[in-house]
Amino acid sequence: MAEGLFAGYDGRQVLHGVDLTVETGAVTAIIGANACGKSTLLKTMARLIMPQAGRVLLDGESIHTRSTRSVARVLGLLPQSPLAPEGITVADLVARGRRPHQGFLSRQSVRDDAAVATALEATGTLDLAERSVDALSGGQRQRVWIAMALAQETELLLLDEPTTFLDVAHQIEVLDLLMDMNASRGITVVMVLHDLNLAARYADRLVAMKAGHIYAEGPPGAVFTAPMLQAVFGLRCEVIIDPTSGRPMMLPKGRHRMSERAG
Amino acid sequence: MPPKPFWLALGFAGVLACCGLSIVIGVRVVSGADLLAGLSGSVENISQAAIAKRIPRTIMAALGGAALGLSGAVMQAITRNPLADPGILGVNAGAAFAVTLGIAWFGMALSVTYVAVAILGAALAAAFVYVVGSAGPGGATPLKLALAGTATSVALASLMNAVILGRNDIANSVQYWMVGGVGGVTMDRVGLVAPFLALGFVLGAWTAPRLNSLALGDELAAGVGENVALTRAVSALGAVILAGATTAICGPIGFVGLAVPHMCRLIIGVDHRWLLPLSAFGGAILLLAADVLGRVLVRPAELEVGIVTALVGVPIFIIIVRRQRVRDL
Amino acid sequence: MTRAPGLAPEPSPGSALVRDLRRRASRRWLATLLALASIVLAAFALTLVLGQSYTPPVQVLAVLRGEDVPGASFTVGRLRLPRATLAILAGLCFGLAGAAFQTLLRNPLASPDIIGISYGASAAASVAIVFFGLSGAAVTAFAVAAGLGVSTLIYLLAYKDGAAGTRLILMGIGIAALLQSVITYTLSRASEWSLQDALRWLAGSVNAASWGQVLPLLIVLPLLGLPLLATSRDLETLRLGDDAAQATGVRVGLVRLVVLLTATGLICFATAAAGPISFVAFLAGPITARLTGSGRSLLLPAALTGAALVILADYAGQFLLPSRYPVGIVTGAFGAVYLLYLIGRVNRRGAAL
Repeated sequence: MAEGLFAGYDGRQVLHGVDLTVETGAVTAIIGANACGKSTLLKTMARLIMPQAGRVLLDGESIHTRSTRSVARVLGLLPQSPLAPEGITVADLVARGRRPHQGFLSRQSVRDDAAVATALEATGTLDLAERSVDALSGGQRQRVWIAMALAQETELLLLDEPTTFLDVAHQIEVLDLLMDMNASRGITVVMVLHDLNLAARYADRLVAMKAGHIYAEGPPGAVFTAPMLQAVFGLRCEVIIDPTSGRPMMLPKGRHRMSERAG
Repeated sequence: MPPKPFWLALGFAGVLACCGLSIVIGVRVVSGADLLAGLSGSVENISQAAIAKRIPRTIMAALGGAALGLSGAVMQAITRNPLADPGILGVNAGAAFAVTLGIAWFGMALSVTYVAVAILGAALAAAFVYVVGSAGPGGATPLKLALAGTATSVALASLMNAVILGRNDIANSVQYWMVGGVGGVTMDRVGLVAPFLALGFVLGAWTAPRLNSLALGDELAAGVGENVALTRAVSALGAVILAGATTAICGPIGFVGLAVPHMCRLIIGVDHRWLLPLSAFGGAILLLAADVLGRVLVRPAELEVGIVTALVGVPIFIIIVRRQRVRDL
Repeated sequence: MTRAPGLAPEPSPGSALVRDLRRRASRRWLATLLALASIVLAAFALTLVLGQSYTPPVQVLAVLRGEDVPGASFTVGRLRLPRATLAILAGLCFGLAGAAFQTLLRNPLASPDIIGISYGASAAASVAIVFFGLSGAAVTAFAVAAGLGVSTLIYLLAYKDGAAGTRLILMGIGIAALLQSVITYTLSRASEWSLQDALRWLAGSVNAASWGQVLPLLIVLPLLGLPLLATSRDLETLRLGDDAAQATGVRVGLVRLVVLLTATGLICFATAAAGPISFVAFLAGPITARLTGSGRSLLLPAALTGAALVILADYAGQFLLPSRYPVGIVTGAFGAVYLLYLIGRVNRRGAAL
């Protein structure tokens, strides 16, 4: 879907030729060290950044030549830190996701209500519908933002670090929710994740980035290896099979507290 | 890079040189003989009288400039905000409003009370702006503080307008004072404000080493044994006294407190034990130079120093804002 | 990629709940709009009927129909009617543009009168009055031209890798400080007579309003106001942040451009006609937000709030206060009180501004 992508901001190039095809119906996680271009890639794929060279293709058509509205009906994005207007209620916020489906002057329709309600139900936030977003906990708020992206009814959902600032229980909750969406509605999910073990556990495909390039790409079983992590993060570690999921997981090796066996 | 004491000495020499210029250069061109006679107190002809009048104004410009420069540096340190300045934080507006009220309603004459009232107004305005500006998530960001200061200034200005509208007897003198200048300053007024400024400078000196710890952030400063609340309160008091007393005599003079500390930081670094005195010297140089410039630019008329500093200061403000990365603001 | 099926719309209890919530919010919005409109109309009627003297409504209606009524034709037709019309039109412009700026810049303190948009007009007008001895339409033309010029300068200075809102605000504040000192300098050089004239203008006043001042606003308001209102839903979405707004299909750059152009135009024309009536642009948005509740566009109701503020404050300044004040003084004092209220509110619940 991304072809020979060069992009960046402030005249600084961050992506140096990225080729990536997102598998339809799969969950893809992008990992990499800080400032390696993960978010830039996601934003360029979501049409927020104009690439300096290269194309982003959606259904075979370049998204940077399509209208913002028509892209927004197919592709949803949850940015890293969206802003909730003061005092807005959950239902109103989620209804904002219906914007690309509404005409210039048309009012919110029954169809829109249904989509909002379904999104609220799917994220377990229907009970919160009347509450003000300011008053919610971090985990609830993140679910509401995901509900807004779901109400947009896109078949492709891009998320920039959806689990940041959440405690571990809420991280699992959010990722499980995304898996549900993927399984029940066939929504293609692409997300940037910081937690490597969660990425390896939940993603169908992993994309490891390093310095504006894609270093490795493929199913976690094939990609998530100690040499890859050493190359991308510069961290010595051991990769074992997680007994709860059967997926690979990594154990970092520091300079201290290493048992004889691991040394 | 020359050592820090060198820069400080250079700054002091600069102040003396500017004082000299301020006495020699004026709207009226004065001969050497008259200059010496005027300096020794003689007022036999107009030229000598002009020199005699330039002396208090020079002293006031030097003291006021030093006060504003130091006050700006302290305000930038305690708010950790590159845009803090007596003008932008509404301190000038507070002092101006208090003085106007005093003149209009209580017939207040020039006295110690007058200066004290200005300082009180300055302190109230500063506290008000800081509370409004630090409200909400993220605390006192430069943006919020600047907005709160401006909004407060606008509100005070319109209250002030309400007071002077229809009072032709005071409107002109208030307007004249509002421009900010050292033109009409006499030795009496210098004497009036000197004790306040002295107190402010002493507080500033006490504060300098402590501001270095404060720069690490409140928690860390407390961690290295600093009484954060006390340091902040005393420094703020010193800064407000300096700015308020200067405003009482000279009127609101903007941008000295903003621009000078930034330039001094480029020269001497961020150690407040060096930065504060250099900012004081720098402020004095800027105000003296602006005053001299104002006398020369539109001869035979004069341009008040407040106008000149705004003309110099705003471009510097714009450069600071443009250089600052957006997410830092 | 191929299309996956979207969510199927099925009637559910949740859907009914969402619909009810939406209808309730819409009803509240509409009710607020109607209430504000009736306040404006009532104040308009009051201003026409009861001034220094009482004019019976029958006579007022006769004058409005264009009949010649001795006495009333002058007081109502020449004095009160243009004044009330100017107050309402200027209030609409200030309220609409103020709320637009605050929403676009996501900061309730970032209204055009705070960030320097109206200062260009003010500085030019004071120079025109004091140094050039101009009055009437000449001052207006001068003020509009300078206001637009200064706003353009602020945008250009703030423009760097795209105009960030934060930088725009700070540039505005800097330029405003410069112009403020131009204004003070001008006033310090003013003769006593032109000083009072300039002060009254700077405070913002609809005294001695004429149809000549009303006409430009009558043309400009629909010309700029309607395109601005057309962006209201996109502008609401923009509050979620640029990225989120663009992800829901808002053309962020275009919307921002339209809003800045139209709102700046409205402010400049209104300032030129009535002076910078302080804090109307600043207050209209936040007051309206308390009334309408969440999730609906503020622009239209904020315009009405602005109109109500100006016409009521003008009436109060003329007849309800111990001495006569121009409208801007009254709104300015009100603005100071509002800032105090903000502090109290923040201290009470630590809320965002």
